[in-house]
Amino acid sequence: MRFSLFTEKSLSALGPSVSKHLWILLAIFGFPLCIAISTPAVHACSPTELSTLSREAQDGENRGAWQDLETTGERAVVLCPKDGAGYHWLGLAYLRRGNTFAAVRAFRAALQFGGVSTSHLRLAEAYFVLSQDKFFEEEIAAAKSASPDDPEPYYVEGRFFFQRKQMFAKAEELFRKALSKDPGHVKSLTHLALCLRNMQQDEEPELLLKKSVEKIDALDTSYYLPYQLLATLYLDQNKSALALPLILRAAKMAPEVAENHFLMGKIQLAQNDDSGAEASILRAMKLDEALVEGHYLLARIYRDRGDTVAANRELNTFKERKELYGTRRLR
Amino acid sequence: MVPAVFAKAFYTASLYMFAASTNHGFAQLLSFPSSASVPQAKTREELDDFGFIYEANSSRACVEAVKAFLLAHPQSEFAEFAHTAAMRSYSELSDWEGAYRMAELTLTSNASNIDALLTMARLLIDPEHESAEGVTRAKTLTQTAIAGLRGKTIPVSANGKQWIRTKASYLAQSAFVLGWAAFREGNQTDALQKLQEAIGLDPQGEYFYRFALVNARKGNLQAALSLAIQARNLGPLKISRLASLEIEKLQNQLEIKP
Repeated sequence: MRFSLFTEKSLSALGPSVSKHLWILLAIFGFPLCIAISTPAVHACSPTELSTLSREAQDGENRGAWQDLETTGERAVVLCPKDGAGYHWLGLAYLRRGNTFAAVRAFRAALQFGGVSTSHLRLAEAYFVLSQDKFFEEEIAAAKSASPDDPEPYYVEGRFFFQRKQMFAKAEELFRKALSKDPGHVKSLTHLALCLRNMQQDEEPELLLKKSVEKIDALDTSYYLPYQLLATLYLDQNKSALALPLILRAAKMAPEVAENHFLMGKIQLAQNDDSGAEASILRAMKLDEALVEGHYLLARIYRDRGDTVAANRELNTFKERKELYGTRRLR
Repeated sequence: MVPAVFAKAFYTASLYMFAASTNHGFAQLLSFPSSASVPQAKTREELDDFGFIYEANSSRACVEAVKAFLLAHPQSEFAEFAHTAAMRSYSELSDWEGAYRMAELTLTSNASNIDALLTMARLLIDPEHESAEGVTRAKTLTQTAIAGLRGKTIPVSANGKQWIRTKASYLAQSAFVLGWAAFREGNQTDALQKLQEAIGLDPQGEYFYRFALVNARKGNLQAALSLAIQARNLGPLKISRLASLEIEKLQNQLEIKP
């Protein structure tokens, strides 16, 4: 039953360039023979080949170049079919691009061939995305057992209890556990802050987010979330002067994120910079039209300018859009 | 075709929550607690098989995947969603019976499934299957769907454009069914208003066709002809054929040579 995962469909899921060669042979000879016939590297994969592919994969992952990672994964599966790495890279590429079912199958395939150190963790993430609680718990337990000193599994489990289970105390405990493994784990710092904010705490979240921001400032990374959260916290505390540079930094790091521009608009409004606010809000709504509150804020800006026609137009749009989108994104 | 936001509502929030294109994909998107009830697979193979439905790249493939899934996992908590997927696929294949059967099965699992309510309503007013009782039932189903639709709100991290398309499409279907029901009840003013609303939200060939029929009945022959031509151009095939017949009829009435 070693190869029971590999049906015609699951091979398809591994990617077109892999599947088109393999599945027909699979139908006739079964998976092991299919691999043997269809790949030039039936022999044990050479360490050099795997090492080159590994570097490529790492590079693709670091750049967030998921198509490149998928290509590397496909090549690895063909060149080194009995090594779990190629399947793992494919799984990661699928997972990050939202092809979650295929990711699950690829990670499971990776694990059948030994996987890589994070295969259980990524499979847990995929089950988390699909909200499959039991499988998530099994995989995260395996991930913790495989890398007991790694903060990441505790962080992911913390996210699971925070988001899926809404068990905030348990989530807090897990984020703290992750931080005990690595006090500078910025994702845990950030999500612990978010969790504590959800538990109506203000003081520690601010400290945690400041620490997270300091860490990121020292790194070359696009992790904008702590900047955005800290800016939100300062805006809530009417400290818009402190909030503005943070949200500017977040928007610079991730200009494609509507929320950053929207928050910037709100901060600019708080500073009476109506023109800046107008531009930021319009940009945010161009990126995400479901930010319906933007129309309301624009109506306020236009009303203050004395442009009642534009104000009424925005107010009417706000009412219409609120009907269509609901109020979930209203703040 | 309706984007699959509502049909996959149980996954929408979580899928969008994490689908990111940055190297911090999992961590980056701000997501809020959501403990929405989600079907749980009993085995990993069951989830894999459900995935094949989700990933099917054609209506026919989807129907086959659903059949295989239900055969292998008859007690699955995913049955409602499998039936919904098959219902959509049968609709796309213009298989009225198949779509109706699947809509019934979906509503047996979940009587407030908006997709199934509206599909069933549309099927009941299908030109080849319409009856007086069917129109009455279609109206009731649509009113139930609208009530459910009002409570639907965009998940925090969902794609706004896709959401708006989906919701607009459902609202259009609702207006379409209610408009046609109004027409059958003899209320032409409401019928025109509702059908126009449907076209405004989601310009589909079928809506233009029915709008043409109502206009023709009201004596607006030139408008009816123009609408029927649009319906014929938009399709699908079945509607194009019906619209062509209507065009011929209107041209005769208007004494226009084709």
